[in-house]
Amino acid sequence: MVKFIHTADWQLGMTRHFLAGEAQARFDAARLDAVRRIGALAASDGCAFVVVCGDVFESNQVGRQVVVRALDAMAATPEVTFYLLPGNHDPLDPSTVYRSPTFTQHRPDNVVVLESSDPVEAVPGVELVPAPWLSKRPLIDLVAEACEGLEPAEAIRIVVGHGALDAMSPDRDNPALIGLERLEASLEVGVIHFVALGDRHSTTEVGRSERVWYAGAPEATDYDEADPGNVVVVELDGAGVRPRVEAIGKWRFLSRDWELTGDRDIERLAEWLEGLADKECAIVKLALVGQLSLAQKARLDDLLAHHADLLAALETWQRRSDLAVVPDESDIDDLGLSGFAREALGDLRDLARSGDQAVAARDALGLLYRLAEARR
Amino acid sequence: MRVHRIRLGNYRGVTDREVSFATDGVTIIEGDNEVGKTSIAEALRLILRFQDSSRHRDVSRVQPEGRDVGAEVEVELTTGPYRFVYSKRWHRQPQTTLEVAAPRHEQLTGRQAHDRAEEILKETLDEALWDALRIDQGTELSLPDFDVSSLGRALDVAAAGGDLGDQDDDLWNRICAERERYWTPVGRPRGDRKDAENLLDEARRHVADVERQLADIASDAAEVERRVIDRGGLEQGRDAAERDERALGERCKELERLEGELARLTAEHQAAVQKRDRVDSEATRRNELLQSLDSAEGKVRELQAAGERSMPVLAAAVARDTAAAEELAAAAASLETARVEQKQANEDRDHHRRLIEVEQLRERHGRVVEAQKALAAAEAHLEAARVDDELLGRIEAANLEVVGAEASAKSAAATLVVTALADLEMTVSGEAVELPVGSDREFTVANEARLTLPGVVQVDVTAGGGSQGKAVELQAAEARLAQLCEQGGVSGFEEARRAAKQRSEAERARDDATRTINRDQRDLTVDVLAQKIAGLSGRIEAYAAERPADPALPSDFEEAKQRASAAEKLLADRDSDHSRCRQGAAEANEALTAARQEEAVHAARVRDAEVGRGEAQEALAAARRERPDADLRASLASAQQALDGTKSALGGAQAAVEEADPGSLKLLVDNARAAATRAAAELEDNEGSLLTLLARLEVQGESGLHEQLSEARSHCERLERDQERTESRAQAAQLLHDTFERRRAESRRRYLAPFKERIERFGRIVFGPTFEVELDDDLRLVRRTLEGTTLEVEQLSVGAREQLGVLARLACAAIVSPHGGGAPVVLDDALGWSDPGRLARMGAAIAAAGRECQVIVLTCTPGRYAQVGNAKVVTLPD
Repeated sequence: MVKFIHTADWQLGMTRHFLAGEAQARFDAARLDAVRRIGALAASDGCAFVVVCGDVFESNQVGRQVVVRALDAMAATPEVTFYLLPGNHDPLDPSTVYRSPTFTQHRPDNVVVLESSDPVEAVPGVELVPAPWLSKRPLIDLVAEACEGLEPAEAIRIVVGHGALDAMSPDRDNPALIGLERLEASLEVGVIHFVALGDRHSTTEVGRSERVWYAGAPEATDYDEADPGNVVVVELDGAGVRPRVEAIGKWRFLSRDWELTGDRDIERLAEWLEGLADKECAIVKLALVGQLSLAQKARLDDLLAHHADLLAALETWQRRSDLAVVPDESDIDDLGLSGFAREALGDLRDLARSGDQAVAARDALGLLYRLAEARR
Repeated sequence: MRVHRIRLGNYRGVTDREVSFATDGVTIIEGDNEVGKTSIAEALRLILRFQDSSRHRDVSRVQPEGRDVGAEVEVELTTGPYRFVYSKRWHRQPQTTLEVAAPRHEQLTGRQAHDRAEEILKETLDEALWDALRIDQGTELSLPDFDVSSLGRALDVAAAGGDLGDQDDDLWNRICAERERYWTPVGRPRGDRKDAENLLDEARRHVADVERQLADIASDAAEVERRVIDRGGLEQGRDAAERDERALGERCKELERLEGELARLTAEHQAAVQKRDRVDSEATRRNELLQSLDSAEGKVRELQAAGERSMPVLAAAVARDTAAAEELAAAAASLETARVEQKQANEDRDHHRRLIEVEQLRERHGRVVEAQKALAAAEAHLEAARVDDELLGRIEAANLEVVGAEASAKSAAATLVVTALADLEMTVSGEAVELPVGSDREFTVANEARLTLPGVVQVDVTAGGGSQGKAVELQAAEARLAQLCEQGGVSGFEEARRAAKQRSEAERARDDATRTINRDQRDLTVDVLAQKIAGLSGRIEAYAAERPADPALPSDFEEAKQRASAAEKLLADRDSDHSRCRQGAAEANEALTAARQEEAVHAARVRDAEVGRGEAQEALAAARRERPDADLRASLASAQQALDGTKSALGGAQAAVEEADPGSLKLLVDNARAAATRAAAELEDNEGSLLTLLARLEVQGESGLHEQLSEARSHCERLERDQERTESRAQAAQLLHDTFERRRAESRRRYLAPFKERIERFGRIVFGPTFEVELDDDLRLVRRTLEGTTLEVEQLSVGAREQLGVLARLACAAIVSPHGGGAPVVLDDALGWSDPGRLARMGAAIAAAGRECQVIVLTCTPGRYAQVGNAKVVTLPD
């Protein structure tokens, strides 16, 4: 029986443009913490080792700081060995981070880079079959190649790979896709016993064998991830496999579409934002569509400004947003305009309905509302 | 606002004065200078503006000179719904009271009173309007600026019938301010927006730069991979090149051996060739000797034949030379004869010419001698004759006098006519007179006459006194004539005339002689002529004596000339004959000389040819002694045979070398060596590049480019978002501003109509029915039209401008006032520039305005506003 932690896609060194300086720093720190937590979990849970299935680093060109902090985080649990697989973000090409002076000088003993497809004995009786990426664009199925020629053996074999599975990829022509069928065939005949994969940031079990997994990123990295923030604790023996998903991550990416057509909608949005937990670790993106009056828009702006301060980030998804601000009668009465000012207001409302100047006219109306309000 | 009354106490020079105003209509306040008219307007301003504690200069100035009391002002006003009495004392024991009567009663003092009054005024009085409607004494006579909100509001009411908000101007100012945040006044983006754009550009460049660096790394990594693969290929290439080089080296050695053999055979062949050539050249020389002997013999024969052929030519030349010499001698003799004959003919001709010349000279000499004689005679005559033309003239004149005197004496004298009745003999004045019967005789008695018939009668006739005078004159004239005639040596007038004629003939003869002498003498004197004649005659005689008799002397000059000419022609012919013969002789002599030389040369040649033949014979004999002809032929055949043998061996060796293809082999060897070198260099280069690339990757891989890129992109995106936001705000501000500006201008234009209409209504009272004005968008008067003539306001006279200023204020006040708002029009000593006619009409206009608003007129010229019909007049005492 062997017990280990399957993780991947740490993407250390990743920056997010929507995070202001402070939030980016916390985001970086959280992902290092996740590494430490993985080590601690492995130690406390009696895991023999940790396999990190690719994309440990966001890029081969990450800074020294990222490298030494990552090594330091892993060194925190010296009893746990981390097997690092080069993935598509950090392939083992001539510019690889894994052979950089910083990495080689500061690598602790419990960190092992899987540099070739030669099987590695992780613990007695357990063999890792790595399929490291040697360039950014391999022209073959690296996992299939690593498994080529393996004969059934006494040892438990764990395939450590990175990349998209053919069964899940829409890009059929990609020569580097990993063939699921062959893996399952090998699993069935007992040549290999578990396939630990990276690349997909959502924790995903694939196929019918219960033995093919994407661990997912331990901390979320983007809005489109279905189930990030986990590692898989795998127990494996002759009798079978017992995978267990453990939540590790603390950050969330939330993307929402909101239709706003009146005060009620703004209230609902306010309630939703209010109800978010751990706001300082939440990154929210809103696509706002609909039509608001000047007063409602002013209210919305206040609401968003407030939550932008609370949340790690609050973005408006410009591409998918279409919020028309059109003054209604009550707005206009509120402004108390008369004479030529009222006529000018009428002109702007006409312009705001459609045409080239509609956007500028809506902004102008908002500005007018603000200026007229301010004089009261 | 309406002012009901005002009271001043201890205000400047005024101790206490109260003035009440007509609240709807015109109040005229009259008074001399310095009685405090202006103080009334000033006090109204001070009380509304300054607190009782104010130390403002304007306030300090109104304290009365030299009295320790505080100035006081009290006014009663209506403004909006309010009516109140407001009083203030400054300087001493300051005090403020406000008593509001309507709409509800309020009583306040001190600061509260002041604040409340300010509040009321702020609520109801447009301060700008208040300023605009006042014309202070001595201020600039400018046209008012009516860009004031209350007028706009009132005009808007008049124009559109709508109601205006209170603070649109404020909003407009904010809109302008918002636009100015993004745009310069001329509509260019402000500098900070450009700066932002520059920052964005810079950020984009930075992103591109980092991306490029990352791309460089990627391309370096790719190159490393490629070079690692290349390494194997390069090694194989190098090994193959080295193998090729060795194989070719073997072939080169074989070639060297063959080339040695070839060189040896070539030397042998050359020796055989040389030997053959030697024998061959000897045989050739033998042939040449034979040939030269042949040719020497031929030459001798040929020359001898030629010598024989040339003998007659020489003989002919000798004969021709002799003949030519003879001919030349004959020609010379003929020439000499002709020359003698020609000389004789010339001398004969000259002789005849001299004959003619001497004859002519003799004639000239004769003529000169004759003329000299005639000249002498004429000169002798002239010497004797004394009557010249001048004397003749005087004699003529004297003669005329005599004739005249005679006539005159005769007419004055008595006439005695005696008629003979018988033959008579009588004496008259002593003269005997016979008178036959029947005849008569007349006597003129100039003085006295006595007729005596002897014996018969004696008659004495005495002429009168006049007749005697005439007689005396006659005598005098006759005496002068006689004297002149004596002078000329003549008896009387007739003779004088003849003498004069003879003299002039003598003069003519003298002149003729002189001319003849001059003509014939010419340059010679008579003596010289004579000498020449003598000389020529001598020569003629001598020639006749000397000349031979044959041929005969020609008969005359003509014949002599002909003969001379013929002789000359003959001489020329002979001379030409002689020249020709001399030429012929020279040529013949020359030909003879040439023929003789030819002969000599030919003889020399024959001798030379004979010597050459002898030498050739000797050379051939010597050569044959050395090697007979048969031996020579045998040697030549054997040398040729040896040569053929070596040639064939050499051909075989050459073919073997060519077989080995030395040209290509050399190229192949060079190529193989170069290929090996190049392969080694490429391999080395590849290794060097690999090292460089790996070192570079190591350095750059750790510089954190990934984070730099992320950061740069984030920064760039932030700037882009900021810029987008700023730009959309700028567009919004611009659009808002433009829209408002357009509508505002439109509404301004609507305001214009009622304001213009009101100004024109009042103006027509002053200027007549053709008065029109034009306003700009800011309600300023810009042009005035009168009687169809339009002028810019600046072009108008000071008086007209001042009148327009007052009219505009009246119009403004009239428009604003109906709603209880507005402010009074205050005219402090205005219209000083207006003539009496205009002033009267202005008065009517003020009166018309006074029906719609409050007008307060301050003046020190009581009559000035007499025409304001319905005015309340207040006269201030001194």
